Amino acid sequence: MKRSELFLFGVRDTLPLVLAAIPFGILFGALCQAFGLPLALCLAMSVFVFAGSSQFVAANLLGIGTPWMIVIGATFIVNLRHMMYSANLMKHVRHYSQIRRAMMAFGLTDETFATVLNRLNRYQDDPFSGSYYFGSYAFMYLNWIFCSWLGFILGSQLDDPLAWGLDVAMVVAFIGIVTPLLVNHLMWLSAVLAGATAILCHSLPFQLGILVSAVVAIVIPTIIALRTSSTQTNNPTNSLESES
Amino acid sequence: MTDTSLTTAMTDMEMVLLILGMMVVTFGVRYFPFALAAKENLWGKYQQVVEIALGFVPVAVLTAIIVPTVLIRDGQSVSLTLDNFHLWSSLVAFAVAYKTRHMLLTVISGLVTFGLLKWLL
Repeated sequence: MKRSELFLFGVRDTLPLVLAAIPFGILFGALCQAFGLPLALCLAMSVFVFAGSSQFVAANLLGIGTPWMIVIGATFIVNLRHMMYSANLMKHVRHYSQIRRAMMAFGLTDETFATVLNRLNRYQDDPFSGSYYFGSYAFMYLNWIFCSWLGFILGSQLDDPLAWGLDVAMVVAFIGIVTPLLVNHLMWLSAVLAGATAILCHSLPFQLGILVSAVVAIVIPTIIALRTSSTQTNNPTNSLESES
Repeated sequence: MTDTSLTTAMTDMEMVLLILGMMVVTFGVRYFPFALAAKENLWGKYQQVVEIALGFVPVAVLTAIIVPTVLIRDGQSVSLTLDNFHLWSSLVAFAVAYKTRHMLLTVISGLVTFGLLKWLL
């Protein structure tokens, strides 16, 4: 398949998640405007940081007068989960130059990770494609910058776009990605643990609940997988790869 | 560029440092594993453990994002009532995803359910 074709497939497959990101982008811009942050700061975050949930946290913290160094610390904590994403994809990027890898890493959002992963699972004989990845992320990136700007400009004229419930688009898109991955008992266990822990830890600051839940939902199934694989010889990830 | 209405009244320099800092930590977190990716057997004798653990990442992280968004609508407590449209739309989307494994159908069915509930109730 040609690179340009793969790039366009990346764009196409990200469309549901791009649509889902629109209300979040607009809300982020409107929030910056409401807190009296300058437009340049709002846009600089979307252009140079490009990490939605941490930008929300940053805008909220700045709005209540938090010192900038603490905002950087909060950003680090909120975005730590992305390290799990790049660790998950690292075996696929081994053959790329460091510059290409760095460019890819910059755009490793929840959405692009989910999209790329979905393709890897769907077409297992098809190798990881950098063009597909860049298609997904270019679309997310431009949309995110545009929506932040739009939200800032429209600002106070808007009702809260999340009050219409538009974040449902993100939820159903993620459901479309997670559900096909539930191919064995351990994956189900991981999902149940993640959901239950996330509810229990919901009140933790800086979205630490997501991080804690992810760790619990990774460690416990891994321990069980290792115990079963030491008694039986087959490795549970093999069965994962052969199914679906 | 400095806006007087900003509560903290940050200087331009502080804003530049803020953006730089946020960029460095975010990019650093995303790039660090990629930077090491050249090694075939990076984790040594723990290779198998790490690979199994990484296999759980997508389900673990995405579910931890989905579930509170769906169940906790007021920011505080779990809502299982009929007026939690997110919950019912998600259940429909899940059923469709489980049956068809089709991303676009899943998204459309969830959104249509949501729209119908908003319209009807």
